[in-house]
Amino acid sequence: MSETTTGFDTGGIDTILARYDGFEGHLIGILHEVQKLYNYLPREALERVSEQTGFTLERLYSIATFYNFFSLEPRGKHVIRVCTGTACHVKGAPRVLQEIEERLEISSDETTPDGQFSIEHVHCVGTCSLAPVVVVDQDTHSHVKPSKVRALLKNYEDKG
Amino acid sequence: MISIQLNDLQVECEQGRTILEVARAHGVEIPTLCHHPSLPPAGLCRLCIVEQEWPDGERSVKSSCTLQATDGMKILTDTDRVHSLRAGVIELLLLRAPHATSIRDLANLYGVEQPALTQLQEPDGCVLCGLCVRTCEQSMAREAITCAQRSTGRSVATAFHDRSENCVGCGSCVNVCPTGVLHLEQQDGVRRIFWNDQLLNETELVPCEDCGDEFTTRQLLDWTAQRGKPNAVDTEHPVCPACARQRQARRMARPLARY
Repeated sequence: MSETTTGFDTGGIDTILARYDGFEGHLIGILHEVQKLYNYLPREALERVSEQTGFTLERLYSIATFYNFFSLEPRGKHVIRVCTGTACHVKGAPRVLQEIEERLEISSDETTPDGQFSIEHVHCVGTCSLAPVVVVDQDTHSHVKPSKVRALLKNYEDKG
Repeated sequence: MISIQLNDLQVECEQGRTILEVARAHGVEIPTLCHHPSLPPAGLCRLCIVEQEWPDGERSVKSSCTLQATDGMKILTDTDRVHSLRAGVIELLLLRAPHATSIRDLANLYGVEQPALTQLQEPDGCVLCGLCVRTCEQSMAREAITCAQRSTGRSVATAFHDRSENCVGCGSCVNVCPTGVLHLEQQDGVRRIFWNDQLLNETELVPCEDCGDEFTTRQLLDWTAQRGKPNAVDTEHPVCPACARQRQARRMARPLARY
């Protein structure tokens, strides 16, 4: 197990990098795997990737901030993605989003203090006939109404 | 050699030249912001747009910095359409950098007054031409600054908006910046480069052995030596370009002194 001076465990990253034969052209794939490991991209992790691959930290930061998928902030165990695309907006997505925000007492792009939930709003998940849509982790919830939000969240709270 | 028509001029040029290069060689004015002769064309600022006229009379708008000249091509650089499209670009740039002299000059030239659009966010003064980022990466091989985020949030930044260890303090980014949003300060033997208020890095100034002028930084000397550039300055005994010329002249004059 290898550690940086700040005590950050980089063993997982080294294992990921060891699977790659050359890094050019694989950077996004590598960052995907690193994010899966930590649930976000910690600065220390990017520093380790930079050190091991020879890509500058600036290059990694540019990529990590360009793609919506990557997050530089810790995210909750469950990520709630509220669709705010046109169809969902018309069918009441703003009220659903507001209800979720009020229930969890956080705003969009934030994480609850207990690390359970993060809220993100996305622009169209491609299932407009199910509007308004809320995607939690891998589950798609259709025709969500503000009155259904409490039960929906409860479902995930119970899962722990 | 190939022949193209540039407005009313019939001009000859080499194969592979861009329209911008040909136009400038013949004194035809085309404004640019993101172009630099020592960098590959980027086609980012859209100010250099011109019209290409096809044999059937149809015209299409192209960016002249990326358009390669081909034989018989007909290019119009000063039509009403080109003028109004450039004015539109300048209007948007003016929203981003309302105080930059270069942008204000362009606005005056193209008759752009107050932009009709509403400002949604406080302008940071950067027009995102990318010259600094490309110079750092391609000319200096450093990547100390990059473009972070995207869309309306896009900005020039260092990693995590922190000081960049990759910055050697060469100041190339400051030199190419068209808006002055990048600037440097030198005080007490330290050079600090800023993007607006954000400090990119602090580097140690090195004086010339002969005149004492602080002409470069320790980090830049080390980096040029490491890159093995033929004209790299001696890192142990740094001499500024002006004094280096004088030394060279003295060396050349010495044998003559015998006569």
